[in-house]
This record gives sequence, structure tokens and C-alpha cells, in this order.
Amino acid sequence: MSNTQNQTKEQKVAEIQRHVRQHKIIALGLVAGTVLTIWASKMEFGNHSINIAIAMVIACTQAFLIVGFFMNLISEKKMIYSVVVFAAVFFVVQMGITLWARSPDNVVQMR
Amino acid sequence: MEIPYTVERRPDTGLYNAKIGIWLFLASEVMLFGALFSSYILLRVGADPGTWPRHWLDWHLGGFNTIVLIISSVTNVLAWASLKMNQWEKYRMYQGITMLCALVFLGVKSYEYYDKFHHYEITLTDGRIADGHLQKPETTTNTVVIEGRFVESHAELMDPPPGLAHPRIEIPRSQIVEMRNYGPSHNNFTGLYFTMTGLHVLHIIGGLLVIFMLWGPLNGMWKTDPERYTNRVEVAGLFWCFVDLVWIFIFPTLYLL
Repeated sequence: MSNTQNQTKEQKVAEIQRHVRQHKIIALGLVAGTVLTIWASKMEFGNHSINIAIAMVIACTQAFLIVGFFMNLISEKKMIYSVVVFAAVFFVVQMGITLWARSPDNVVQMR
Repeated sequence: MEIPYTVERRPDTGLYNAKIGIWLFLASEVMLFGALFSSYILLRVGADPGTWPRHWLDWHLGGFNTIVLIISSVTNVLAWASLKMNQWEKYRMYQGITMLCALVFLGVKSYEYYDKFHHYEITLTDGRIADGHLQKPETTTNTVVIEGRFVESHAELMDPPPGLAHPRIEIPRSQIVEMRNYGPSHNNFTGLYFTMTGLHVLHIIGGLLVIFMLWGPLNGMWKTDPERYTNRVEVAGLFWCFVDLVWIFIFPTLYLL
């Protein structure tokens, strides 16, 4: 019994050490993402919207890495997923309303 | 009174209560910052062409702070992992680095705020605008001294070309119509900049205080109830990673685009 318990503990430590290595690699990925965002913002694509789109895609990827691995969301319980989905839906609706409000159909130029 | 489920998991959720609590709190934080980002989009998209400022913030400082926060998030996670492996000294070291990073972030941010509050747009009687940093020691009751440049219109201030020279300029006070610094009331951009980064700074300060309290004055719990202590560190760490996450979006939005 004691031997089994020790093994379990060792396995746990090995698992945590594996996560630690993973987190260090992800941190490097996040730094690389930051450098890439700066580079993309300085590039001339002919249309500034492209710079914005690229920067936001990189930011979303970085956000996924932070939430997924640093905050351990990829291996969380159902309850936490429900909370996150709830917040994400509200956020998307909020941004959707914002963008819809500025769509050409809804903006009347007075000048 | 005993607080339930601080260590053991609730049978229905499979989680200890503080973890659900922090995720619910973070969900509400998403709405809070979401409202500010939404305001930013509305004001920016609605601004007349050429009236929205670009390159007003130093991306070198913003980029540096981004990397500092990323490092602090990693050390925070490593600190928690150290507790899980029963390595108290390593935890103290990693969390010490986290707090140091937070202080560096706040130091850089303070410098940026100081810079904005000493940067003035001065409207002159001849219609020109003098724009630059106030040289307080040289400014007298009769003359204002700045290091900056003259422009003919506001439009020239919106996207300053890089590498501009900033010569010393003396302006008699009798020629000044209005003098406004780049504080929150300067325009919509600075208003949003100070609101978003100010709220973020408050989160940094809050997170730093919690991490410090657990690291220092409240660390006795590690001896009496190590599992509960580790859970507290985990919850504080979740908040800290969220603060990093928000900055990941603030940086490109305000500094780069």
C-alpha cells in the first residue's frame, strides 16, 4: 500500500514537472507572439485593417495559451467551462452589438 | 464557523469553492473590460478621418511591460507547481520574482503617466500650436519652456513621424491662449488610455497585494494547512494570469494599432 502511495506521489511530481517544462515553452511562445505583433503592426499591407486583423489573431492565440495552459482551462471541470462559455457568449454579443451599431446601415452622416 | 469545501471538492461540481468563485469573478471582469474595449471600438471607428491619434505611446515601453507580465505569469505558475511538489523555498523565490515583475511593470507605467502629464499642447495667439514636454525648472512666471515643436494644426499632432527633433522652445506667457497636458481630459484617446490602463494598474496592485500577503504575513498556513494554502495560491495565480491576459489585448490596441 505504502509502495503504491509513493509511486502515485512520484507520478504526480513527474506530471507536474512535465507541466513546468510545458509552461516554459509556452512562455517563449508568448514572447514570440509579442514580437510578432510588433512586427505585424509595423508592416505596410496597404490596408490598416489587415494590421489590426493580424494583431488581433495573434492576441487571441496568446490569450488561448494563457487561459488554456497557465490557467489550466484545457483540463478543467464542466462547471468552469459553463462559466467561461457564459462569459464568452456575453462578450461576443457585446462586441457584436458594438460592430453592428457602427455598420453603414445604422450610421447617418449629418455633415 | 467552518468554511466548507476549502480543500475537499464539492461532490456536485467536483471543485473546491474558491475555484468556482474566482472563475465567476473573472467572468464578470470580462464584461467590465469588454465594455471598455467596446467603447474604444465605438469611439475609434466613429472618429473622423485623421482625428484619431496614432503612435502617441511608446511601444518599446509597452512591449517591455508585456514581456515583464508574461515572465510574472510563468513564475506565478511555477510558484504554485513548487508548492504542489512541496518545495517551499522554490515557491518563495518564484513568487518573489513575480512581485518584482509587478513592481517593474508599475514603475514603467508610472514613468509613462508622468510623461503624459508633462506633455503639453499649447495654443498660441497666432493660431499655431506648440507641442512638447514642459521644462519645469526653466519655466518662469513670464515664460514657458518646452522641448518640442511648432505645428500649424491639430491634424499634424495626430500621427507624429518618428525621429522628430525636440529643440528647446521658449514661449512668452502673453502669447499663450490655452495650455493643456495629455492627461485623461485631453481627448477621447487619452481618456480611454488612462481609464483602461488605470483600471488594469488597479488590478496589478490588487493582485500584488494578495500575492504578497500569501507570500509573507499569511504564510503560516503552509505549516498548518498546506493544501488550503496551495489552493489560495492557485486562486491568486488565476487572477494574476487574467491580469496578464487583459494586457495582451491592451498592448496592441493602444500602443500599436
